[in-house]
Amino acid sequence: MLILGIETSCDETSASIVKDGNEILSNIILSQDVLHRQFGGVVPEIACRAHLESVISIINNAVVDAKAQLAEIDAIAVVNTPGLIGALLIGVTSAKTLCMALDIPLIAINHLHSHIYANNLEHEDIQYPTISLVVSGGHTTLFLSESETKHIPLGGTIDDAAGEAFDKVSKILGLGYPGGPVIDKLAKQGYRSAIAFPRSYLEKDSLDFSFSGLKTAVLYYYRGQDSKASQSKPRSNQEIADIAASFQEAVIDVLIDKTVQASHMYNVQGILVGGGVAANSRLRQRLKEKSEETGIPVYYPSARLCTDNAAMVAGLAYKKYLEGSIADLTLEAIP
Amino acid sequence: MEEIQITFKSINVGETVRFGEKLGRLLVPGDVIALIGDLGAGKTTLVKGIARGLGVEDKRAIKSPTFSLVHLYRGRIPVYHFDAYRLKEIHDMIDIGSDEMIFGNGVSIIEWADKVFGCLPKQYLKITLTAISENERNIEIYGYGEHYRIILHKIKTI
Repeated sequence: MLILGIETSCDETSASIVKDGNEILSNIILSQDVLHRQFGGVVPEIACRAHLESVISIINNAVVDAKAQLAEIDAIAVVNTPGLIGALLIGVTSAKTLCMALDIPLIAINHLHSHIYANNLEHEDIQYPTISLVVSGGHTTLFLSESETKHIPLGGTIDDAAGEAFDKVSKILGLGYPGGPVIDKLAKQGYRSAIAFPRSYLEKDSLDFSFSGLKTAVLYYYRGQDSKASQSKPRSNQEIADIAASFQEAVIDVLIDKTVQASHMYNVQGILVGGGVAANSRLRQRLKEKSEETGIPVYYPSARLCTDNAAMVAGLAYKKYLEGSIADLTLEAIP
Repeated sequence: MEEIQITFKSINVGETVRFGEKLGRLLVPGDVIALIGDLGAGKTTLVKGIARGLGVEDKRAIKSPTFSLVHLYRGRIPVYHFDAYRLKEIHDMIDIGSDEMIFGNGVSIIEWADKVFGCLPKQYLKITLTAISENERNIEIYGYGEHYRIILHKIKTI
């Protein structure tokens, strides 16, 4: 069964054809990074226009790249929540139109659930239930996953997402956007224990996250206690690398501790991690160490499937199709 | 237009939240609050308090809208929580449907409002947060228009 997946929830326009839920025949991703970099973030007007301009050719490329014909597609899957409303609408409208023209079923996909499914595209030995952590620029959410399609939210950030903290700290340190890859790279040259930044665990047993205080602590450390940007003393490259490494370690400590805590609370068979921050090399290393220590298998996708892509959308759609979960053509985009 | 100003010094996060809660209880449908302050100044923290004062029970619901640009919370009146941090132009704000919300029947709170002043109505409440130390914040409030002057007067007296 061939499913065409479409993903336009944020700043990547992506289309992919996946066979039977795990064989990726094509996965075309057009990143708007270059467009957005000059603005230090995703600009919605740009995101929306760029999706509109490219979505048709991206879908065409996905079909051609898979050496398929549109007529051979059995169903179309689209992310309809959560994301930027204008951006989601482009994908949802494209998918609905194609489904109507081709007279094939439409499958609605939750963006966060598809990030978790990215693991199923590459690993066949995942046993349920699992604890699933989606960690990206817009989300930091822990789920109890009972199957590929059933995810119960257990906790999430109460202020900033982990990836947002990376972006904002990157901006404070003058390192640019997106912050994740820059800090990951720079942190390798820094001392992780140079600065004892706060780790926020909230109430005992809480599976929620808070990264806002950490961001403020980095700001204060960087600028000095009197807080005026103009009075901040010049920092050496080593000092900046130390701040980056210490900040990153504080984020990762909390992500790992809460995920492991949840895995004990729910007595799960594995831990799945997805989302852009799952590409962070230090997080992956720590997860691997933790897995060896606890004996609970930990899975994360290869870096190219951590960031937004449509293969994970088309893959998850196959499982939903088998369960009879078909959307009708009145499907709405929900931000 | 004559404006009224009050200044409040908050010594920690809890006090900022409580101040917001007090303000939130005084707000009515259509009110607009413009928040100004640097990264880490406590804007989202203050919004948590205001939303609580507006009857938003789920404190987990209130988080930074930097990524999604606007959040809607259900309280005794709807609360629209905007974040213009990533926006460059007023157009970007209008593009996400800000007019319908700001001129609608909810309470609109806009972080980084200094980037999108052109989207605001003539009358609104402007709150500037400034960090004095890691925990202390200076909160300055200006009320533009009679309605907001009355709100500020009430805050002073309770």
